[in-house]
Amino acid sequence: MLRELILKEVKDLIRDPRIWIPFIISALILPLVGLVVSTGIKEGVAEVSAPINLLVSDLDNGFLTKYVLDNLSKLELINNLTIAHVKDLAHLKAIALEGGFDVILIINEGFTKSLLSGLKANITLIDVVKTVGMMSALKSSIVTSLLNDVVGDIMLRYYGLNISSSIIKWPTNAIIMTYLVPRNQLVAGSSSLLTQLGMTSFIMPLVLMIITISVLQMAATSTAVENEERTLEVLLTLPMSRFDILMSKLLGSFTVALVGSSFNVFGFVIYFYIFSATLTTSVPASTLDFAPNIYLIDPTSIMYLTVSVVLASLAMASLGVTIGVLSNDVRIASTISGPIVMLVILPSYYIMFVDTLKIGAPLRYLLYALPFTQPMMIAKESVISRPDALTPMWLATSLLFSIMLLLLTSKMLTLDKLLRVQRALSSIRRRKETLMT
Amino acid sequence: MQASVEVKDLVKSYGSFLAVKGISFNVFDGEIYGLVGPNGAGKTTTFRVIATLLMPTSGSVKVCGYDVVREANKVRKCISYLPEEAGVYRNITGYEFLKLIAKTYFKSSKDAEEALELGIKLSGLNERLYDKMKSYSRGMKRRIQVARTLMVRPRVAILDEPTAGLDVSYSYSIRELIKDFVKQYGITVLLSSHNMHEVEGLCNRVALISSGQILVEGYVSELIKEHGVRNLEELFIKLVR
Repeated sequence: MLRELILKEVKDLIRDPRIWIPFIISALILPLVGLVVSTGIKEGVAEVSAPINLLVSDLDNGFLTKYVLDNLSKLELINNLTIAHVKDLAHLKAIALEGGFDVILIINEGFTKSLLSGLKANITLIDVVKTVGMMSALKSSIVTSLLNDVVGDIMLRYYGLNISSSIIKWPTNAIIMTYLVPRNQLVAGSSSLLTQLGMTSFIMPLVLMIITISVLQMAATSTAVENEERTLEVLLTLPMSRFDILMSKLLGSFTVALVGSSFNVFGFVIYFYIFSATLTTSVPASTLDFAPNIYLIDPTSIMYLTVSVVLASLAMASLGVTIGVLSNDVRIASTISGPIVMLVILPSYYIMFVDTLKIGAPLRYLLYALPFTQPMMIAKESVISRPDALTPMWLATSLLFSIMLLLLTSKMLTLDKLLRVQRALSSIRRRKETLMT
Repeated sequence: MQASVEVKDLVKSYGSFLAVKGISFNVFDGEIYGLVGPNGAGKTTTFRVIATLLMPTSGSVKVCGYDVVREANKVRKCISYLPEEAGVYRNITGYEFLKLIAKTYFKSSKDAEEALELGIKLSGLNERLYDKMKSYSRGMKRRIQVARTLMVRPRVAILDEPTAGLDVSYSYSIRELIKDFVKQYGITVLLSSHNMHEVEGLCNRVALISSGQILVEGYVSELIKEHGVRNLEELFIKLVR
């Protein structure tokens, strides 16, 4: 008895394309996700594993410094170690840029003296960062680690066991800063902290994209319900244009979703603002020869990002309305929504991992123009540089995308065309069922 | 007499299936015209073409003098369509629904208010009108849909099975409502029904349709007399069998 019931359940489920279609689509999309992610990761790994070009400003000029640097230059991970005795940061910056150095190491005065006294020595490390990526900017950490190993080894040989093990392990006090090349700005903290900010900048839009998915589902469901509850026929005979009918669906869903997610957007913007402010205001300005801006991410970029996220929601709602129109019922709408959302989010993974400043112009502009990838591009480039100069135009393009999509859908919104699509879907289903039985 | 609806050689196919096979009929101003036939006869397809929902495969259809293909927007302004299985918005109250319809059809707030008043009266739902429609019974849902269709005083009301699935009491009240409304406002009604007694009691003229073709058309009393039957039901059985 139970066996028969289970069999009925399996047959019922397996013969419903709404059940198995998402599995097939996911199976097809996941390798694509892997491909996109691996492309980005490969670039990141290649960057991290490349030997480091190290510019050293030796302000100590002691015998121990020379010994340490000599040992450091022999390490495999160091490709090019160039020593300069330059105090001026602007000059150092120019040398670093010209020579393509990854890290600037400043060995402060009194380095040798401190170590000989059994104290920790002061150094300053500056990551020279050209882009923010998942794997970028780990090089100052590598240099610190290598330096500590070399110095610790010397200390151990010099003092034997007559010194604290913490000095052997961590013989230096490192002040770490990051030099953002595209915006010619120094920020406090290691570039890994900057990477965290970068992560925040592109993970948060991903979170917001998830919010916009709810917009898509709401719009798709509300339109599909018209089909399912048989209210669409009446709606289509009312004295109003197809475009107006869809526009009302779009703006209705969008308004509800916008009110619902406005708190999240507001919280996100504040978070972004405070985080960037904390980072830059903690830089000791007197030590720099160019003053840092008050905020790492300027208000204009944040405004662009906010507008872009709102427009992305609108585009999602537009896509939702299109899905709803093509769906017989709510279940079909949900079935179609899932894979489409995956496809829409896919390019965001790519943006997350690659250096967007190095992307060729056509692809870069496409990523800026599409409402689904635009917030990611703006957020990521706001950290390391500034959003594209044409951003206002890209925002307009995003809005245009939603309107065009709606216009195209309104052309499909006739019972004739809908019945044709539904008949086509039914015949596919019948064919599959025949094959299965 | 002027024709509100002119159907000429209408053909409608879905792929290789011919749902309507070249039918022609006219519905005159102020009359109640019935399209009667078994399931799958082509009644709903014909109504959908007249209501601008479907495009005819061939032939022509004019409503209020406007072509349903080329002047669909003008046609929509003079019709009001009640589909056979018209659903309701679950989380909207009956009152909100009628108000929405009134505002959709009338730009002037005075006209919209008048239509709304009429809708409230026609629905007969009293205080239940302010409840969400998901709480309505089948009869109440149909009643509000009939009220929605008639309240805008269309030149042509297209009613597909207005009493389908309703009990005797609700069917009776809807029939009376249609009859009184036509008498009072002089609109044209095109309706379909499985219920022969209903058609006999409501319609001036009828067309019996089967397999996409009109078998007979004319005044109910004349058809009964002409075919030597006691009522429309007997005529229907005689012709369809």
